[in-house]
Amino acid sequence: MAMTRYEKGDYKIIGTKRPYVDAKEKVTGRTVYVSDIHLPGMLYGKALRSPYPHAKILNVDISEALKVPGIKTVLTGKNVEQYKWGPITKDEYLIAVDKANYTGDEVAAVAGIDEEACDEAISKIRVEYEPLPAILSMHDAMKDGAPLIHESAPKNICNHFDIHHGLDTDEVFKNAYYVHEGEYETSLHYQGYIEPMAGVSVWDAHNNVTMYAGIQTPTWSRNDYAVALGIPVENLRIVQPPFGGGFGGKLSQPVHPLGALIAKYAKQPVRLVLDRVEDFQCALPRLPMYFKIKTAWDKEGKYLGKYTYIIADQGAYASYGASIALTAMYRIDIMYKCQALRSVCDLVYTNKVPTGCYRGFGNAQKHFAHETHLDEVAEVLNIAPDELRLRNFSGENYKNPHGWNTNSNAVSDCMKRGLEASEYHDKRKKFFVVNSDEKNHIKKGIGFAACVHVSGNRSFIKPFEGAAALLRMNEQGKVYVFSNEPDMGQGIRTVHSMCVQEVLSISEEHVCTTTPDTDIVPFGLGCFASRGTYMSTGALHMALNDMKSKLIKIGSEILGLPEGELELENEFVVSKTDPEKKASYADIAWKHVCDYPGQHILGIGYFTPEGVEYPDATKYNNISGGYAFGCQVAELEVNTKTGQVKVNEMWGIHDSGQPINLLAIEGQVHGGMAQGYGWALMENLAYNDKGKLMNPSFLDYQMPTAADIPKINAEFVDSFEWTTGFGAKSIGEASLIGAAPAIQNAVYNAVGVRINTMPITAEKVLKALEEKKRHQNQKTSVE
Amino acid sequence: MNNIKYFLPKSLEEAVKYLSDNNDAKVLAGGTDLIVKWKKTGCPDMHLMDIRGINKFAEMNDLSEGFFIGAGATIEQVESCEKIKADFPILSEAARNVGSVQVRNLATIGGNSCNAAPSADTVLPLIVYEAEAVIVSVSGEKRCTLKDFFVGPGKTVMRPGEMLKGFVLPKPKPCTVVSFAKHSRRAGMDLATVGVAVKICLKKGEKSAEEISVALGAVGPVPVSVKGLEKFNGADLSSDNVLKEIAEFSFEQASPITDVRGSKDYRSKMIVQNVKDCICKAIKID
Ligand SMILES: Cc1cc2nc3c(=O)[nH]c(=O)nc-3n(C[C@H](O)[C@H](O)[C@H](O)COP(=O)(O)OP(=O)(O)OC[C@H]3O[C@@H](n4cnc5c(N)ncnc54)[C@H](O)[C@@H]3O)c2cc1C
Repeated sequence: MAMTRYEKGDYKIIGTKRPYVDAKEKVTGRTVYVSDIHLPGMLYGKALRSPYPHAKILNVDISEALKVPGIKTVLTGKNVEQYKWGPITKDEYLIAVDKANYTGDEVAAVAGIDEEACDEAISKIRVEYEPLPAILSMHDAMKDGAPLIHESAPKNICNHFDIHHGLDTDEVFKNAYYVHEGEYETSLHYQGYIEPMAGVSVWDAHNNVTMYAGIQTPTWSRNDYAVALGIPVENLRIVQPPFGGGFGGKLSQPVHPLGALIAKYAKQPVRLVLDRVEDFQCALPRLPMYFKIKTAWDKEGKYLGKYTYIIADQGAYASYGASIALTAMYRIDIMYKCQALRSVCDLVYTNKVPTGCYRGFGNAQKHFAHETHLDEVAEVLNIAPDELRLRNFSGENYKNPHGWNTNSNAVSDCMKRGLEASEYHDKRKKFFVVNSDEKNHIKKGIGFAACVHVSGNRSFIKPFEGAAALLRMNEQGKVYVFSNEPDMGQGIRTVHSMCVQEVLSISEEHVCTTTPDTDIVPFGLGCFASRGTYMSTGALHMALNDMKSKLIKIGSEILGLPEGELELENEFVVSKTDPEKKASYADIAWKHVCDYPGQHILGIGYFTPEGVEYPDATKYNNISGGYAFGCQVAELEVNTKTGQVKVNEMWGIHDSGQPINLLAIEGQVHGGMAQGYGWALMENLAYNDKGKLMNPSFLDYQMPTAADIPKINAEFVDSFEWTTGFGAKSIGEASLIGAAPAIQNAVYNAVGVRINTMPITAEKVLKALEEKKRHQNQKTSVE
Repeated sequence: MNNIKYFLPKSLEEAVKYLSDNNDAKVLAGGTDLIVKWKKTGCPDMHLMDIRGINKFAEMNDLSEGFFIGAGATIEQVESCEKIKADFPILSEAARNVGSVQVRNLATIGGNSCNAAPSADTVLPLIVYEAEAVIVSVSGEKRCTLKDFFVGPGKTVMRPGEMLKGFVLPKPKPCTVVSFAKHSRRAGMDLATVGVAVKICLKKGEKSAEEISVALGAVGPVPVSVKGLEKFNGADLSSDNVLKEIAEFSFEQASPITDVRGSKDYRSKMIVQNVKDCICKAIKID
């Protein structure tokens, strides 16, 4: 079957800059976030957390806690009905039963009339632990004699993957002109959203549960939560109010079902909101990964083969670890035309915070390693880093050995424009001269990284890929949009509103983009894998055409004109030839509810990305309909006396397909690059040798502030993804993944050292510079 | 429930009387240390005496013996005071480096010293400017040079019933040059990994010193006022060797440790580096 090919329209609204539809409420403090919700009779919930990274739970004595005034219920792993759950691997109880697996693991939970009562009750629960040896480094997890964290995972290996497609890598390495090897390690990176993990749950007398939750996957996560709670999925309703950011962390996660479990036993609504220390300790930060990358090249810089070995540290529980590890293993292979690809990964458990999704989803880790690696290769082969990439970039309609294929692909344009906008080549020359001056202790550098991400990842969830949208025009002619793809601050409601305004020629005031309530919105997967805009506007495109044709049809009845003569303009169905002949949406909508008593005009749409299929057992098949590309550049200076890195300017040039809301998509580049900057230079959740998190606060866990972030220039190259109605691909994750390797490559350009273990702190840079100097001195003394 | 006793005196007399009668009362100024710590320790019962009702506490004025800064002046007021900018420029600079705008609007200069954190930013310039702490109690006023004010982390020489009224800063000699450095991990909202303040009295028309003072922060249990620097009086500060000697001599009096902000090794190097840089900056050599 031939693929549907959408064409770019003559847009009036799409591609312009629009403030968020909910901006006024937010900036005036009127938005009701999850943690602002207060229900009649609501109690507060709180968990008691393990002080040990690994310990048997011998006994939990709750008798004193139950006596605390205002305490309604005290739960332990053993006095509740609960089931092992997890979005991929079912390895976790909501309250630990026999063993705590990290410092912060839930060991008991209480509900009380206020936080003070809960705190007091928590302090009165007596737990007898038998501390066990703990694994605090992924490098120790698989060692002989290492303590076992989960019975089901011998050697603490949760998954071992081996993916091999295309030519035989061993053969390719044997015959290559040059083989390059490198090792890289990334850090434990916390999302730092403004509202911690939060939910308010109501458990009624019929075992129906309503959860008000900050969640990126409202309809889909019901499946996971129902397992944990042992109730039928249909009993669970999730209402998703505005919430303070997700960045990937708020897919299925334990706080929501734990709150519901407490509500069940308290028989009253329960609010469970983590405090910031708990959120640092127990939310789902980015998996640290160790990479060993080996690549094969010919003399001209043709990329012949790649072998990657990864240890991925998912912490105490699996969460989405397997999918994230797979992404790290092969996502980048759609950007370069390399024909021999093998990737092996051990996904291990350690006694640290369970990890999860964070903007970039394994691909960020891989980009740090791989885009650093390519610059190393370029130097050895004496080919400019951009030239090396240009010689190997994939293009439109490229099919890689994993069976993935690109549609639109403007990666070369992104790189060319990125280097031009940042004056990369000129600056490299200029900086070389400035840096050669021995007396100058401020060295300048510029570096870049290319990047690729998906718009939806088919390998994530098996039954289907795509999205649905439902439009309803009420009896006054106002349009309501129902979509399961939620707004967590990224602005998708504004994107939906703009698409409606564009197609129906209707004002923003007459479009209402609702927040998801699983009793109302279509079923679907949610916002992750940078899928929201690509999928949901695909579905919306169809729903809008459905509604448009209905409006024209009724308009033609009212006006007595043929449908072909009519068009939509400013909330009227109008004759193309005689603008005096027109019927307003309000009249049309009213006629409809009268003709079909009470029934509103509906627009129904769904979207399946064509040519995308669930991977087979060998992980073969195209996983996305819209690969989004980009190039990110960083210009910086390094103080050789202190090792401090100061980034002066950054550029993010992206192929995101057709931008819908230019303002929001630029904001995504700013935010993504800022998070990439923090990850590169300062952020890391650090544990001491007792398995305790050392920096669970914004003072000690350093994220960049507005005073640190340099000027960021966001630009989009001309692109239209023809598989989706409005041509939009993605930006959410692509915007983060290039910044860290760009900074790494710029540091190398400035001072000739690479810090392959993140973050690139001043201390590490200084040490590397001293080592380099020692090396050079030794060399000169030998000579 | 939290049991908080709170008193808001209207005058200094009322305040010192209350303190003398209530030895368990804690002085509340901006609360940016006190309240944060209180929350961290599980919000125990607390007895507070809020000094923000006493206008006199926030006064800054000229005295015959120097410039007086009331303990209750906010960090923001200190930062933007024209007199301080002109005569004590690195005090203004250090104030500008404290926390964020919101913190600086609440926090007081007195609280920064009384909290006795080794990393307190405004303490270092106050030490090199030879500030005296004015301590009051029902029995009257007494003075203590700021370099002798700190006795341990979170501990000062003040005894129960005493409180800080303010600081007196003698007017620096005309030959004075100064500089300040806060070495931190990020540009805003960070505590110092190493802090340095330097004051040098230059011989007329020369790059040699009549007198050098160096104060170091975040490198020991209390802020360090480097002792024995007289031996460098007259030394040629344009010499790299002299700079290195002064820096290493200063470093000898520090006792840096490893924490999340930096390792002992890195801190040690940054003390030496920042002292050298500060001297160069003060006497304007690159
Ligand atoms: C987010 C944040 C960032 C910060 N960043 C910095 C920074 O960059 N640099 C820095 O140096 N500090 C920083 N601080 C610490 C703090 O803001 C300062 O130490 C501030 O100067 C304390 O002043 P305060 O008025 O808030 O003191 P308070 O918290 O009110 O008091 C602190 C202590 O001093 C005592 N006290 C206060 N005034 C008197 C008085 N007149 N007499 C006797 N005792 C008194 C109190 O009883 C208490 O023990 C930061 C704090 C926060 C919360």
